[in-house]
Amino acid sequence: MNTKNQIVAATLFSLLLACSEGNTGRVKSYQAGKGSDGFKSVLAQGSGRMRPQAFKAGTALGFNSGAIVATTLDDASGAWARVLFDTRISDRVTAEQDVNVFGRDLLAKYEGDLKFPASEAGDGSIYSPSPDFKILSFQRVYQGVPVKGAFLRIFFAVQNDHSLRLSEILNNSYGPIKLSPVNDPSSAPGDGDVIAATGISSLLVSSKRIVIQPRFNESGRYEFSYASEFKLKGENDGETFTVTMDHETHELREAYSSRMNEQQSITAETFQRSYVLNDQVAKPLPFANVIDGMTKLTTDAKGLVEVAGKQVTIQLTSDKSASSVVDLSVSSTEAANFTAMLGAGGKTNIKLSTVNPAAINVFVAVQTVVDFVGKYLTPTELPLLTSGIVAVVNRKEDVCNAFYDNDSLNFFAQGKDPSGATCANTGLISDVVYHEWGHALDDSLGPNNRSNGVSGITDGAYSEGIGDILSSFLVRAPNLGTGLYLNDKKELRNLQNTRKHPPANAQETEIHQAGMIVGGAFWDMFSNLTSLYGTEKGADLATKLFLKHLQISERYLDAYAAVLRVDDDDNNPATPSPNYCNITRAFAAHNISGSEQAGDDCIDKDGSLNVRVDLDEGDGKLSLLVSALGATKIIACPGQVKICKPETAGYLELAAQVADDALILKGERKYYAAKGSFDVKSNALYTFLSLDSKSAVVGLKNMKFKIRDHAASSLKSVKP
Amino acid sequence: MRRLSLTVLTLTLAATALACERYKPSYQVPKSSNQGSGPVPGPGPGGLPANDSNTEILLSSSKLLGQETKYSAVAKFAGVTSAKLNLAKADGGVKLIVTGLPSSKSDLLVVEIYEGDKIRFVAKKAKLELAAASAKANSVKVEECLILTAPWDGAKSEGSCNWDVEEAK
Ligand SMILES: [Zn+2]
Repeated sequence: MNTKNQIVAATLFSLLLACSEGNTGRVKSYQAGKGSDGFKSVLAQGSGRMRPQAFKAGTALGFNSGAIVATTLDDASGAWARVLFDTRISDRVTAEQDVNVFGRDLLAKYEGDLKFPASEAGDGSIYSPSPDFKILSFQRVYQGVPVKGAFLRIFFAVQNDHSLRLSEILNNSYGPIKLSPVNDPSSAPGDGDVIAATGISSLLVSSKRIVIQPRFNESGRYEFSYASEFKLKGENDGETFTVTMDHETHELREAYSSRMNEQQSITAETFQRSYVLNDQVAKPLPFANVIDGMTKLTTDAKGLVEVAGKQVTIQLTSDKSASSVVDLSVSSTEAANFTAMLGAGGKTNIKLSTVNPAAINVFVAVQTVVDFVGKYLTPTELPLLTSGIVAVVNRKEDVCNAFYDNDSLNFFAQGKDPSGATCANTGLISDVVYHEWGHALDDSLGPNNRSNGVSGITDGAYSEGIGDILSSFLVRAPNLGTGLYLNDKKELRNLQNTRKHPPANAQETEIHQAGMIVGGAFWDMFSNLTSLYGTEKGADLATKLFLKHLQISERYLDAYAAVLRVDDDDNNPATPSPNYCNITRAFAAHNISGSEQAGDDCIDKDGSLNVRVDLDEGDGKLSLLVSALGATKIIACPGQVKICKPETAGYLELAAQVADDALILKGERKYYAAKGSFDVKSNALYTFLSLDSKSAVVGLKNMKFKIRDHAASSLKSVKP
Repeated sequence: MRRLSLTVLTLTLAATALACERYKPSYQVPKSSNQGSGPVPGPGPGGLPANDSNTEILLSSSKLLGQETKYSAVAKFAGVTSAKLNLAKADGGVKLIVTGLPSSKSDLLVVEIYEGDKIRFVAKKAKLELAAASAKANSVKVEECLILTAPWDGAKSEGSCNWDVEEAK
């Protein structure tokens, strides 16, 4: 199979679960799979495909600011890609209105290192995602022409007195620009050229602009050429393609769709993960309209409504619902509804077999994901939590898929895909619902977001990763999309993987495949943190880091730095954040930690670890109980050490079981008993290391033992 | 089979001050509210001598002072576990009297203190030896610092009477 075919195959296969724009039940046609092979192979790689391939650590020499603590270079341009500042001594800006001027001065000061002439910075825009940060962004504009994807972001840490300290520079401006040939508008492709290249003759050009398109040359350096970026729309259709075509060669440089595909007291049966797992669970039917004659009531978050003992019409919509479900097999505009007999006893469980199961399942799954995300982001930060979204179910497309499209989620009915395989109704796979809603989340957060009037999906692979990460964190499992093919329990994607940046081959550049790189990093981080803090606290922390990082990151290559910013407990990049090693180890495994690596000696503190003297055997020999939240096993060695092996003198192992379990409080904590005594008279300090299920070290705590003053002489053995 | 022994116990105290109160021999072991009778001394483990003699265990604790009706206790020593015993008032805390603990063996004494059927405290005393007969009364004093809250919730580190433990930063 040649490369192009591989990509096409990858597109068709992974598909699955793709991305895209729409409202209410107005139905738009679904064009995935249409078009020329060339168009599809570029389209498969989505937006933001022009990513730096590698980073290296900057040298400390030549720095002209004592506040700079670290720099990372973009290997392809030699420019600073990321600079961290010590906010205790970095430049300070007292008023927000001075930020723009400060940013321009800063760019002028470091333009040699940033390889971004200050004269090429467009208007700056300021974004305040949380009380802790302000972000100033400059788009790069070369001789009046925007450079696609080229930006500089300057981060400020907000201080207690509301002044701002320079904390970070993120530079993705691609280095010095040399252009040949010069801008010649006459070489620009016409509308007919680009439509012909897509192979979809029904498309219409709705707008176009000239841009400078960066790309890699054969030696891996950036080169630049003029190109035209077209917005193409189908007739009567909400799907929009953004297609960039080179002026000189008329080759397609980038193409992406506005759609991102994916393959309930009144309670309702829903599927936890997927119909194929047969994992029905009754959940409250939240915020649904209940129509009793002329009276319209709404269930509350717990599915409660004040009416019983009669037949009502239940509508899967309300002013408060997270989604309004439209069942396309019935109506393209009206919310799905059904009649139900409400039991006189006050409890009614709607059986999936008695109603349209996809409609109910999607309705409840959207509320589930909104509740999940709503624990970490406020409606002010994420208006999507309260604005709601339309979900269209039972679309007959004969493709195994689902998609997001600006303001709607779309799920396909059971059918045959082009290869002859039978597709399941994707509305019955909650994993898929969470994934699609994740695209809406991506679209809504970050410096670029829908409320700013621009698409928030600037990196297609990142967006696919975000959908998968959200889904996996919610269900606490890395294997996703089981049952996409009817009754096939095989997962579609797995975030427990070894995918690395840059993608290893053409197939891995397809956006769902490339999304598994950042997906893999976040799943590793989830595993590290749950190994350290236990399932509940670890999942909670991982989810917080994931959702909040989305407020300040637009590309998967920036995710690592953004996660560290969120983990930062003192708003100063100069000091390692509490979970630096576990985060870095996870992202480094997928080669998206910039140039940073976490060696064996990089171990975060296990703040949850505590020690109790279970028995003082005398003469400094102590039998200890240890408690921690997550470790599978704990080992200990004398001294303050990072390496502790069975052959180390004084090594002790603590197993996660305590003989007399009446002595420990069962709950979220784990307890460990040592196989042997600690000799604290000889070793006043011990290091306790927390291991995960694969015996990898995920945390440590140093404990010191001191003779208690008042007790020193009060205890002694007396023998007759 | 009941092996009687006249052994009177003396104690190897890892404890301090043997300034315990004077032991007053009593006619019988105070009745346990839970069990209705005292422990049944059996043959000592490994052929150790068991006996009918009493061991008074003083739990020196401000936490327990005046709380003798609230709690009961179980003593475990050298393979013998007492019934759940009533507590009595004592100087600086509470006391319990146990019958039938083996002598001539250095072992671990564990006292578990219950409120109803819920364990509230535990005390462990290492290398306690109950020695052979003596006319003197027997008493074990368990220091306050040995009496730990139970079950442990793991939320903070706790040392022993001799050793403090804390994070080394
Ligand atoms: Zn997707």
